[in-house]
Amino acid sequence: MSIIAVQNVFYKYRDDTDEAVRGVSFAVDEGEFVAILGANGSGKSTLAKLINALFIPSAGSVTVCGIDTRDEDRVWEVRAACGMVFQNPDNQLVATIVEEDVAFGLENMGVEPKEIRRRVDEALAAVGMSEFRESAPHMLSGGQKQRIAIAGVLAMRPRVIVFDESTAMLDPLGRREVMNVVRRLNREEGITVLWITHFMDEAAQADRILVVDGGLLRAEGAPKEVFRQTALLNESGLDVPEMTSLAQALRQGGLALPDDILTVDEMVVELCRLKSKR
Amino acid sequence: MPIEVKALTHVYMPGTPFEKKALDDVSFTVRDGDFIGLIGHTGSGKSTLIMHLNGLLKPTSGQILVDGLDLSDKNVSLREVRKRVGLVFQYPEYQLFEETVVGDVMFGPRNLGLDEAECRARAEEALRLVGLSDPALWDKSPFELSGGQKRRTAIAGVLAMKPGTLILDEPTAGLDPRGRDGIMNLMRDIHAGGTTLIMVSHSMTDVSRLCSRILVMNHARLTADGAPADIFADAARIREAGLELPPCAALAEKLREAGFEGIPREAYTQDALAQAVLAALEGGNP
Amino acid sequence: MQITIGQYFPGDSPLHRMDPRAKILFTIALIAGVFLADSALSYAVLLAFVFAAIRISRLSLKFVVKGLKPILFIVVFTFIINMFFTSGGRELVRWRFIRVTDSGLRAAAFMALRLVLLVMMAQLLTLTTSSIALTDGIEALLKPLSKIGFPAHELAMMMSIAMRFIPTLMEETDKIMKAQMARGADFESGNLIQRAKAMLPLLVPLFVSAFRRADELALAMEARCYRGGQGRTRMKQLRFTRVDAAGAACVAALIAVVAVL
Repeated sequence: MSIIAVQNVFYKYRDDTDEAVRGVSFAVDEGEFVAILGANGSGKSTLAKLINALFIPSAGSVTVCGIDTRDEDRVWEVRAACGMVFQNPDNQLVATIVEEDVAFGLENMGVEPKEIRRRVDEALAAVGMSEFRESAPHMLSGGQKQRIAIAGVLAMRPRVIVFDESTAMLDPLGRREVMNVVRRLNREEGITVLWITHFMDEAAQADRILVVDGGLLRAEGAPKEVFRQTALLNESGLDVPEMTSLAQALRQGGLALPDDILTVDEMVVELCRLKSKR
Repeated sequence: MPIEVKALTHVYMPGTPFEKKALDDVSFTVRDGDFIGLIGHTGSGKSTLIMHLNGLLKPTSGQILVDGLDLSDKNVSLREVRKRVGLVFQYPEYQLFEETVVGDVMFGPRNLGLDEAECRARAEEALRLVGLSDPALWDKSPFELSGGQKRRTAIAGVLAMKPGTLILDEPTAGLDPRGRDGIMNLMRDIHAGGTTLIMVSHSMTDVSRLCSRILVMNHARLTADGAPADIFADAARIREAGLELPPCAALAEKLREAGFEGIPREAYTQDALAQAVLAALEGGNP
Repeated sequence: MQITIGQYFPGDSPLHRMDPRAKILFTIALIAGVFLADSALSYAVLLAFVFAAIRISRLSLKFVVKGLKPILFIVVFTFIINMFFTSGGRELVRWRFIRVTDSGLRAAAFMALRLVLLVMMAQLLTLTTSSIALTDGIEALLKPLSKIGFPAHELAMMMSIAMRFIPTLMEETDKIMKAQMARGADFESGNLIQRAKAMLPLLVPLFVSAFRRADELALAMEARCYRGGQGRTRMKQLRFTRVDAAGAACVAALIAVVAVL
């Protein structure tokens, strides 16, 4: 059984607006790293909030760990099992010192104090921020703040974490820090990751990509398959990785290059192969 | 010369335990028509540097001249300086405050002491320049606009002051690919219109596509100043500054290492590189 | 201006280690003691107590005294008012229509001393207790009131979120100011009305941004299962220890002495 099952889901912000999500269906297996790729206004953030029951679908259903998000009595179970890290590093940190913020979720769940202490220490270690335990949030960099936010979610021991454009406001160093932590959590702890983004190079690192545009699911598949579809991506307001578009230009110039090149290293390998043939 | 910077040093909180040298003996001259990319790791001094160029910060030592006006001269009015050097901060949409879009764009010209009619004319011109030419939009509250439109309104607010030099701090921060393309095209248009541009950016790709000159900051010092081809050719210095080459320049470097010949320094953009690669492979180079 | 009320100096003295609930209650008791005092001797005892507490907490006396600077004007003003305008008592000095009596002098001295003592006691509390500890202490003390519907938890949560965002909002204010200055805004010159009007480009974006933050923060809190104070536990537990008992004994003794003298 999939850990997340989204079935023909619709969502309207208000009665007089258009639907932000229109009949989207997909499933995620436990341990997967799935990227949801879309331009601003594509409905990707709305979709994210439908998954951890911050929004309830106006039609269709979302099932997380076997629980239907429309079940009002079990909403808190859904949110404990499916955590979320938001885009703005500052606007999700609620306490005056780091370790108190990481403890926040556990305190809300009524966990016993000694257990909270244990899990807070574990979570901080997992994101590499243990030495900042007693720091004030405003003294941290963007990447560090996001890592604290991740720790705060991690402490609740979720099976799924949704990252809603969590690197959009970070500098390249911060983005790398956060991506490294998330990939490690996915690989080593088996946490299912839903990564919402518009950055191609980040989506390229996922197991599977879902492309969203105008509230619809336009494409689904492994990165190499999705990035082949340049026309569709352009229509959806997205780019392809630079190497992919360079490969396209070279193919148009007559070179026999495969159509699934994503990185610089892959390109070097292919070009050297062509060179050695001549 | 639009801007001359001579031996600029800036120390935050001198004499306290938090003392930090943000700028160390920085010197360069901005020439008319330049499109400068200012790059460097976080904390290298980029933001501090640009805030000196319109007098928001005062140097600890060194000199800054804007159109010949010495910023350390008490008789020089900062208003004159800010007339000549416009500064658009990161996420500029967070500074919008007026009741209407056009009203907000008129804020700058009003502060310059221009009459209402002139302010209005400039605001409308600036709004058209940034692509917000629908008059119906002008009377809306800025808070009703989309993120991309808000950012353009904020940029228009600075353009309406008609600065000869425009400085932008991470103009594409937080934007999706479409939004980024839009802003990059806008900057090309502004530059083509005769404005000198300085762009602080973390996106090496944006810089490689737009800029005619690159300044590299590394731990408070200006460590490189030159044409993109020369800057990107020195990969070691880029990495040492905590940065990475844009993908095409990185590919060019690796191809040269792998023995490809005929990949010139100028091949750091996609088109130039594609041409060079096609030529290298067609020529049957060993 | 040195505002020392509200600034926390970390340390490991007995006062630092006291439970914040105890410290808040002691401070209230001490304030009551100040108003009970009515003889030179009782004021002397109070002063001695406060100085002893400052020594024990290893705070710099010079720093505490410096913190009195903001109220210096009020203290002197109170002294003068009381000195010249208290009726009754034996006349000591006379110059034209101004008379200074012994009871006037006494009242002046006592009033001035009261102010000084109150401020120093408040300083003792805030300099040895971090803002989080203070909020926790206030929440714990007010908790019984929540049974009659008083929003103790909500109040404490509001206070701690406000404290968390003060530095962030200060940074944002600075950014907005600089952005508007880059557009020619002038926050410094002009009369009061002009300066007030000039604040609009600063206050509107700040408030808009604050509301947006509040929205986003609320969503983030809900995502981490926040649903009010019901059933919440705390990681940091407040505990009364020997230091608190010792402190209670000292304060009780002091009040008794002052009441008697």
